[in-house]
Amino acid sequence: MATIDDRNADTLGSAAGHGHDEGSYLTPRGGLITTIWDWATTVDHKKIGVMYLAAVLMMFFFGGVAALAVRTELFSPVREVPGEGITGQWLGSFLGNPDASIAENNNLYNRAFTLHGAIMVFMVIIPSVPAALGNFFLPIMIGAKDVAFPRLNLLSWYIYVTGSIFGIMSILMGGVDTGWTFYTPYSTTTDADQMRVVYMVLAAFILGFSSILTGLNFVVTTHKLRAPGMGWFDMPLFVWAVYATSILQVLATPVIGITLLLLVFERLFRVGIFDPGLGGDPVLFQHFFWFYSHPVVYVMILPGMAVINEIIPVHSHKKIFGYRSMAFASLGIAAVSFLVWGHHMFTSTGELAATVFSALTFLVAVPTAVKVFNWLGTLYKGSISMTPPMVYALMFLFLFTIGGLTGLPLATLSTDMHLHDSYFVVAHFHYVMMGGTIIAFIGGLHHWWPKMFGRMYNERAAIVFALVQFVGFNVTFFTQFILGTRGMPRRYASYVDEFQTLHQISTFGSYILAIGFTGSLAVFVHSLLAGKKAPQNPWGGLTLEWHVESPPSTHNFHKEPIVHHGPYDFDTILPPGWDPKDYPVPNAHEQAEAYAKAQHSHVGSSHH
Amino acid sequence: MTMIDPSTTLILGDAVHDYIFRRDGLGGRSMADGAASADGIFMFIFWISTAVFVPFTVLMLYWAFKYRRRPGTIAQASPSHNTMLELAWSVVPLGFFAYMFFEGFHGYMARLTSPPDAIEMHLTARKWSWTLAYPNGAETPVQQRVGAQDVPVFYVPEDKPVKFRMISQDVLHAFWVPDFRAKMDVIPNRYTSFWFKPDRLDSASTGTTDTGVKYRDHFVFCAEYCGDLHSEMAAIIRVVPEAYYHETINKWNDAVDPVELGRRQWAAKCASCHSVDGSKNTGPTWKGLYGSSREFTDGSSYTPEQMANDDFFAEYIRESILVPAKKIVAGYPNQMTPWAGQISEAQINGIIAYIKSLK
Amino acid sequence: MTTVPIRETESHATATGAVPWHKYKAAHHFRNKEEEFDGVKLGMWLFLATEVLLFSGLFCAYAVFRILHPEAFTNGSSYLDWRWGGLNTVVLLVSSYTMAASIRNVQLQQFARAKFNLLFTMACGLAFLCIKFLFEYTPKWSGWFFVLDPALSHHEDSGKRALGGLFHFVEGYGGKRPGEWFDYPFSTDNYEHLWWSVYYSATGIHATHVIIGMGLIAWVYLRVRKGMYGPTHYTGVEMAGLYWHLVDLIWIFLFPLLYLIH
Repeated sequence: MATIDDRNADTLGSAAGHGHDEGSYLTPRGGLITTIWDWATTVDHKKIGVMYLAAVLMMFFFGGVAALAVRTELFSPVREVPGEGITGQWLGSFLGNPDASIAENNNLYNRAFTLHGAIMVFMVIIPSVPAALGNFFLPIMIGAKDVAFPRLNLLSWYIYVTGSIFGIMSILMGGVDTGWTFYTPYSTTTDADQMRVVYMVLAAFILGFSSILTGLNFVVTTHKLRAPGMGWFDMPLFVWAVYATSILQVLATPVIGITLLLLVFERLFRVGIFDPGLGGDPVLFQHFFWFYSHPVVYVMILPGMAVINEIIPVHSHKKIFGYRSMAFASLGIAAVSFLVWGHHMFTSTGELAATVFSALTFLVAVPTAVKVFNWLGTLYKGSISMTPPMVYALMFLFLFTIGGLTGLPLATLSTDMHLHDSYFVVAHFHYVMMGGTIIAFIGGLHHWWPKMFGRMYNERAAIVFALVQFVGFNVTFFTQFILGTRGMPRRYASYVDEFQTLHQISTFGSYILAIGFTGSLAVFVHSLLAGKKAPQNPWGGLTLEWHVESPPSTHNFHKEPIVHHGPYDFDTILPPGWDPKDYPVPNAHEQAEAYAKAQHSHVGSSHH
Repeated sequence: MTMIDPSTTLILGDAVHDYIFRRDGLGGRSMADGAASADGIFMFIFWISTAVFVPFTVLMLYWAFKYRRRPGTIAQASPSHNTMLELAWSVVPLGFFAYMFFEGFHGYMARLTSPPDAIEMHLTARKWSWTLAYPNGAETPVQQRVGAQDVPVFYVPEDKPVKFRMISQDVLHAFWVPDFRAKMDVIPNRYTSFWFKPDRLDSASTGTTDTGVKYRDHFVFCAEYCGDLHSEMAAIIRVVPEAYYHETINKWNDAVDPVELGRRQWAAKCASCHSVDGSKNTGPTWKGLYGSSREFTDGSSYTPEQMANDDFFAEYIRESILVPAKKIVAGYPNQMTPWAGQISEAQINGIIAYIKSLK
Repeated sequence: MTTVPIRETESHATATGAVPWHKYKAAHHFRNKEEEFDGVKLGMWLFLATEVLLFSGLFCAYAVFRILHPEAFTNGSSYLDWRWGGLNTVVLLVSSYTMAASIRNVQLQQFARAKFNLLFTMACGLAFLCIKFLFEYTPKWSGWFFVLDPALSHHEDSGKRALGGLFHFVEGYGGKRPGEWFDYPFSTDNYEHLWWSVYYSATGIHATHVIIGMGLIAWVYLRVRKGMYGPTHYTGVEMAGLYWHLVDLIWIFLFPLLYLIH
């Protein structure tokens, strides 16, 4: 089916050859005030994507600081009294009132981990890939000028910001100590005279609304705005996975919406549906909460997979292995994820229903395994460039596979009775959420950065910091698996002495991780200030975003694109606008010739 | 039922198992009936995972190196899908998963279904302590320091099935004994249960009493987040010989003077929030409470004279135990669980006597 | 594109800033109006799905607590008067009909009728809310009954009057608010407040939806007045209609669950 798309090469190539140069979407349209107003009221999906990116990175910073506070507190088994040793003095001044009681100090710790969890889940991971990268690239990748509902898109961003402000207000009012899971009746009774828990719950509710609107927008965009010639199975796998994510967001979020509303009613009007003191059922809350929050685990990981789906074929310059099984795996994961919420509750009441949830949980592991094997298969006989995005993709494969495999003893009923709510779980979901989604998100940022901002970055430095993150990550979290199997419960401000060594290693790891992330930030800032101008197609990708300028023009395409080839037909298609001169790799011209030759022979054969 | 028994696998297997589950004084061994089977499944999953993960990583790195981009070459022709291979790597894992599920299911059912001859004890949880009522109604007076807190020590007989019927007075808690490889949530308004049969003492012990009786201690942790002192909400299960167990709990149940009864009540129920040495904690200290002045959050106050009046004092303490929210001492949170219906008059008397004794 | 004869009978040609329906072009990123209409409709259906899921949480809570405490639910339900609920059901059904009719009117360029039907739909919404608040919530909260309330005949009136005799006070009836402030004057079951919690949460959230729906219809009404909708472009009316039908549909489920099952 694949044919060479000469017409596209002409119509979609660099705008330099055309008269109607409208400038990139980043070009300011006037003075500072005008530019700010222009961004604040923009309906351009690219600008909205960039605004999401800025907001998400800022929240990532806050969540990260909270994480470092948590790890620092855990450096010593029981809170040290300031004055006794260097750590004691330092911790004392860092963590609050040195004269406070254990309860008051633990309370501070509890607020820190709640802050970390709530920010990272609701304000960072959920919007990271879909809302930031997805907003920017999903329309371009399907050849659309914008998402289906641009104004709704802007509204989602403002709702996201409103939700975040509610969250920050709650923190400024003293923070909440409920944990991000808001389990009742603790969440309905703690700080009973304070409004801040209500604000934090409302923040999660509002953020959920933003996530519903974004998901809805993407589903309609994918259905209705694909360019001519792009059938469902011609879509890039990034689009498939973001599409599956969007369906999950739309279908799961309303349930948490009503749950959180009832929680708010509970606090404000003492409604009592979840409060055993009023005859309600706290286990019902867990069912409601996980009915949403388990699909949301996939809302968090599918976009990570989506990014890897793009990075691996592009940087291996090879067609992805098992395209269809990848697409169906995304949908399969989305479908089964609605049926496994109970696996968070194996030890809640010890009911037989747990066995059904355990079986279904193993079922959801199958499509995940398929995806991992497909990525490995794509590497085979590829032509692999060790670029920063590729390094992140390999890191993802390593970390995500550990995360996936350690899910097995948690899905197994008898071992989960031991591991549930232990550090093993903490390590497991950090390997999946952070080693998976966050690493993929940062990898995706490295992959698309030249396209988004029109600047290259220092690749060598980027790889170094990626490796620092890799080391830091494993030092931080691998130790936590062992802590968990040995009996360390999660959400503990203090612990028995025998866990100290592993905790200290983990804390050091978190500092290495912080250095790695700071380094990546420096690489990006340097790129914005002094990066070389990016060519149209630095990595040699085939999907439609590489058919347009870097950065893209306001309307993405100068003419409606017509898709004639699959997203990963590297065996037959010369990447568009891929000028080896732009991007000096050794003997680039020879590569181009080799491409041309392969292209030529293929054209010849396809005519038979 | 389990095919893989950690004790009979290779020495490497034992060493890895012991490293993964190591606890001070016990090595990596589980200490209750049925727990070894959970360890067996865990290690089975561990080795299968290793067998998948190591070749996976090696292949990934090897291919990433072998097929690195070289000047003048493009990706070699290779299939972009292979139905048999794709089916294989869907179905084979499914087979392993099915095995893991059934093993886990059997283990779980065995851990949930208590034998009919299990000794039933009643465990109550609250923010932030555990109380265990023995079949004869006794409660433990023994405490041991864990971290910054004194926590209760629960005596159970070796090699006998014990069943805890559990309920919470306030929020969710979870009863976890890592050495038994099991936990269960403790929920308000609903009973849950947790049973175990501790291994014999001759398989391992961690200490000896003054009278030369061997015992073995296991940590109990609260595993469901429950607030400020969640991480201090520990207890110790002390496995002792059966005869010694009976002797001990009967001794505890004998009549004791009210001050000692009150001290035991404090140890079991109050110590996590109320100090007896004057130090600050979640609740006011009991030291010097008798005859001190009180100021409350509602603006009212009691004079030292009132507080030194025996009847007035007894009435105040009783009310504060049963309905704590009525009078909250200024500067402290309204955190305490109401004890109405949960504590006997004799126990309240004991507490009052004990507080008076703390000059 | 279909050609439709344009009747310049309405004020739409003169409205400022508004694009008349026959000149309406799809937003630039859609290929044509039909595609845009389909897209908006798909989006709306997805949104309605989220609404149904939102209420499904309440239905689940209802089911769980009804199974756990059937007597509390039967007893609680006996304080609702099916006649008020039934009247509200009729009001909403009629409003759904007028809403559907207004879409048809717009398609046929019967703008005067369309505007009337939209206003009538809003009036029905208002009537629904009045019945809910004045005749159902108020007596339960305060003990003050509307003089025409059929339930009044079952209770002993204290003789106190308000608003010129429109409201009669029944001693000991009020206080049926959700939560810990219940004083259970007639309660026979400790779990009855769960019933009231579900009742107020469900009907309260539904009433909020009625208000939002009325807002949408008001917005559509203004746009019809400006002549922005017609045979070839009636997206907004159709979407407001879908939303209103959903609000109606949810009530159709709530009514038997709350009022009729004993």
